[in-house]
Amino acid sequence: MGYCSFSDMQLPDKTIFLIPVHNEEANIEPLLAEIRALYGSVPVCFINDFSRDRTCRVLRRNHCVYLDLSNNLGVGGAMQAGFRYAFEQGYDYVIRVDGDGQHPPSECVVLVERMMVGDVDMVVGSRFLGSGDYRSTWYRQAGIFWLAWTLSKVCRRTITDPTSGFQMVNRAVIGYFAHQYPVDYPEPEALALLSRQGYRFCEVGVSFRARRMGRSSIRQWGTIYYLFKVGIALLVDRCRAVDPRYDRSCAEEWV
Amino acid sequence: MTIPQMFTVVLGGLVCLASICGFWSKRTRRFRALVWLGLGLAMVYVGFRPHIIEYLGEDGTELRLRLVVALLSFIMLSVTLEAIRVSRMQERYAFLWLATGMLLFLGALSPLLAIWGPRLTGMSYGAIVMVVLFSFIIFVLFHVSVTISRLEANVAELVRSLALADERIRKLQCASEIRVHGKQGDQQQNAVTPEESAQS
Repeated sequence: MGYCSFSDMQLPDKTIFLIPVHNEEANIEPLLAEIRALYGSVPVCFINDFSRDRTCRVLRRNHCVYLDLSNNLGVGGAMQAGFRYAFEQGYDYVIRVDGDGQHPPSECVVLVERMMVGDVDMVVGSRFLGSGDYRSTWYRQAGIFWLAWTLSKVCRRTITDPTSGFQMVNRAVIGYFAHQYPVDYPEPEALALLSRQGYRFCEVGVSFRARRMGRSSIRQWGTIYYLFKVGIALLVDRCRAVDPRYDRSCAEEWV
Repeated sequence: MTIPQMFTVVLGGLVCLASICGFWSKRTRRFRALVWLGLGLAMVYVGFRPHIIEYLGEDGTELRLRLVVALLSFIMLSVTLEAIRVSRMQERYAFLWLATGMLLFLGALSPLLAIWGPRLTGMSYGAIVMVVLFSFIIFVLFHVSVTISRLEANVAELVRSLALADERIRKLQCASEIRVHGKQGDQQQNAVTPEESAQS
């Protein structure tokens, strides 16, 4: 195992960073530089979700590995493409970092540390467990609170940050997500699906940063649609039977 | 005989003539020729015996309504069948259209349905037609929504496959370029060394 102490910021073998980007031309280079400085030549795969700016050109200029989607699929569709790439290329761990620079790569260590303890398939970085004081608009706070409450009820455990996209997953979950991943606003529903299919996950506290450039893809009306969509999805998923093809016990063969 | 009557008779005769000529010279199909012939004959008949229209008017609105519904549902049925025939529409999408068309057509034609329908449901014939059409529209919209969702999922899957294939091609291209350049370098080196050995 090529996994050493955390002082020199080593990641486990066969780890890949998946970074979904949509109109993030200004954020890519700083983020990439940060990852390179911290983790050296760890594989990084960008998923360009049909950006309308020069994102693709920036990726090509930096000789990045990237998936270029020919239509806008939303974060969920883009991430599923990334998970399929990681699955087909035989990676054991995926660290998902958002392309807007909100997730500091230095905090990945916390996720890796928890993952290496074992007994979980997915580690989610929660901004409400961490020390960093995260501020947002009141309606978004309320929405997150409501979602967290619902999701905690659905999963029968406490979930503090249901919308966090700062995650690390192992091979079993990569295989599951490569085959099945929610469409838009995927994070809460993905948690519910995982808990339904018998995968284990936990949250750890990390501190988030404010966006560097550009703006969030979820705006005011988006928040209402988000709540509606995710509420329906959680309810329906709860009523759906467990898919035997992607059960946790079946995931062992992908590992 | 009044002028409108004469006009109707002449026009009907022309329609009959045109349909027969078209069929004879094989420019019109049998079915269409028959429909046009029937229409022409009906016009001639109405022109000679206009009291039929008066009879329809006397009978009240319901019979006329049934005729209109029969005509419209017949058009709906024939257009749907034609769309299936020239393979623009798959059968499973045409099912709702055919079912509604048949229901309205039979309801309009058969006295049994037209009389017992209102008696059973307590609605007038026109209201029943409206209810059937409205629920048909709701069902069609629902069906379309389901279909669009499925198509969207298919498109997303295709886009993902395309992106993965695209990445693979880029990687292969890069690898082949490296190999070609590397080989050229090797060849140059190889080309130099034999000459040098020959000179020596």
